[in-house]
Amino acid sequence: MDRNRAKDASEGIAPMGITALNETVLSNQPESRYECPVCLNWLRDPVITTCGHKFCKSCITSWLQNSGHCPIDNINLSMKVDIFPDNYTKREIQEQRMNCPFSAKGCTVKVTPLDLDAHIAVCEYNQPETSSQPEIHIPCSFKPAGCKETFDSQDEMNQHLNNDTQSHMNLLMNAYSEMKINNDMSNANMDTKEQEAMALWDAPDKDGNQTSSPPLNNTSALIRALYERVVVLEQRNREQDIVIANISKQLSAFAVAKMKQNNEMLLRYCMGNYVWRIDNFKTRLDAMLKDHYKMLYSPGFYTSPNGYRFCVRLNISPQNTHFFALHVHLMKTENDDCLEWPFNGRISFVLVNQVYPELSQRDTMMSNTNLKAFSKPATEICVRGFGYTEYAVLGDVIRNGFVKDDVLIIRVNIKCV
Amino acid sequence: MANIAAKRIKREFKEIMKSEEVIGGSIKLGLVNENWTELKGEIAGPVDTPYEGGTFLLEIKVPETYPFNPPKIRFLTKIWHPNVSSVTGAICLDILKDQWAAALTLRTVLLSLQALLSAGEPNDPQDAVVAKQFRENPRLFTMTARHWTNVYAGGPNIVHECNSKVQRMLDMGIDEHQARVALSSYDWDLERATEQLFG
Repeated sequence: MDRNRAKDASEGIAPMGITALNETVLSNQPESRYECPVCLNWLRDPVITTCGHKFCKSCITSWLQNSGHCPIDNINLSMKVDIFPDNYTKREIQEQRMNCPFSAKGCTVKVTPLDLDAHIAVCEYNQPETSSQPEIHIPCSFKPAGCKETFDSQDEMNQHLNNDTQSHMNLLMNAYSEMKINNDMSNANMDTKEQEAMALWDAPDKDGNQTSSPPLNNTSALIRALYERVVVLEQRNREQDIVIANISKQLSAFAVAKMKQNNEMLLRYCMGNYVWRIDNFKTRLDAMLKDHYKMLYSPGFYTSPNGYRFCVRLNISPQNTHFFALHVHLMKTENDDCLEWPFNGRISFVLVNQVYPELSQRDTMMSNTNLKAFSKPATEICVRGFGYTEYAVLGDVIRNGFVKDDVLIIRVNIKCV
Repeated sequence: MANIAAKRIKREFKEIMKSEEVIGGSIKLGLVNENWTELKGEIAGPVDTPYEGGTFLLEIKVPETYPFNPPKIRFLTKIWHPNVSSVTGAICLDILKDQWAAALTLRTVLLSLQALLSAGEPNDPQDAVVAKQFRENPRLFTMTARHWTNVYAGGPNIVHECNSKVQRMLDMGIDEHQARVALSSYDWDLERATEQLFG
């Protein structure tokens, strides 16, 4: 019985939070020799273990239901053989007397620590101060509208309600117009966007699903929430845009790298069969006509993956400006030391006629091992070339179907012998 | 039962507020709700560790059966430690599991966690990746832990090497934390971390 009351008492205190904590629970702090290490409260029905530790009987019982060890030093404990009532401590605690925490308010009660919680719960000084007024006043039910009358009984109020209908109606009217003004003012304060959002929110009401429109406060809260959401989404959108931009940048970089790699592969693995497409031919030709020292060089291509590397040179013949000159030049490679020098092989040119294939101009020459042009190149491109100084007539090339879509095609085949 | 839990937490709270650790600022405890079922802890990273200067927030949930069962604690601050999950903050510490004793208090638990930061136990790991790094590459582990402390726990030691690598991945459009986790997990090898995220 005593125990139940104690329990009720502390449940009454808990919701009061820290203030209650300071005033009551904590003023009741036991000395460590009277404190249970499990509940940190005064030892209630103290027991002592064979390892010399004291607990409330209920605390150690609960603990040993799930564990076989002392909560303090982990020594094995059995409920049956290791736990003894500590009546000495029990008596010591019961001899203690404590002042009620409300002694400042006039309570003179002194109780044992174990009974303190129970006393606090029923202590007559433990009352909210406002509730000490004995008189009861019933306010008029029109109080929210502004009626200030109060009554001692329900009957008196009913009488008032009957007699003062007119003044209550006036109060209501005033309250109503005030509300209307406030409402209009808050509506006027909204910017157009807010009104728009509100209109959107009002829409479901027209279906009759909701009988009353939500109060303005809720609506503004909703709008605020929606705005916040919009801002968050816009922010996220922007972040995603940045991510996408980064990724597309990477992609185009990859594409460029891939193309470059492809071109290099083509040049290295063409096995001496190189097709040189000269685009924007007209512009290039004009530039060459203006300056006869201007020459067009093809990229370097290989006779085999680790073989000789050649490029083709097309220019206007310096001896006879009516002719194109066409030469091949050896180029340095990383394998030059492994190759045999001078180069020995067959070189064929085809000036492709893109309109009349049968008119394509074909020429084949053999390398001449005595020439500088076929010895190991000392510079990136060997200064000496090999080919024709008067290869084709300018006018012929321009007019007779060799140039199509502003592209001139020269096919070169170089084979080692 | 619940009554014992709330009452005891209140007493512990009072006790801990008076303790020298709280006064000295090395641990902190705060309430999250009014029923005393959830609290927020804070421990300072111990000196002479990579966590030095950092402040680590802990979520503390007090079960109804407290103190007969241990409080449920996890790190809210992201931390690189072999006994703490780098993803969830879950802690592997024996006294929070089978070695819990009713005489332990929040104060002793917070101090134990601080001790855990000083001495990681890679043989009983919570995070296998971190534990492996701790054992096999202590220099990188220290650097990573210091970097995480700087970024997530407000530690003062900036690790420029880590920052620049994370920035490199940010430039590729990778989320910052994801990038940091990948780099930390792959010993700050930019290539492997990137591969893992894109593969």
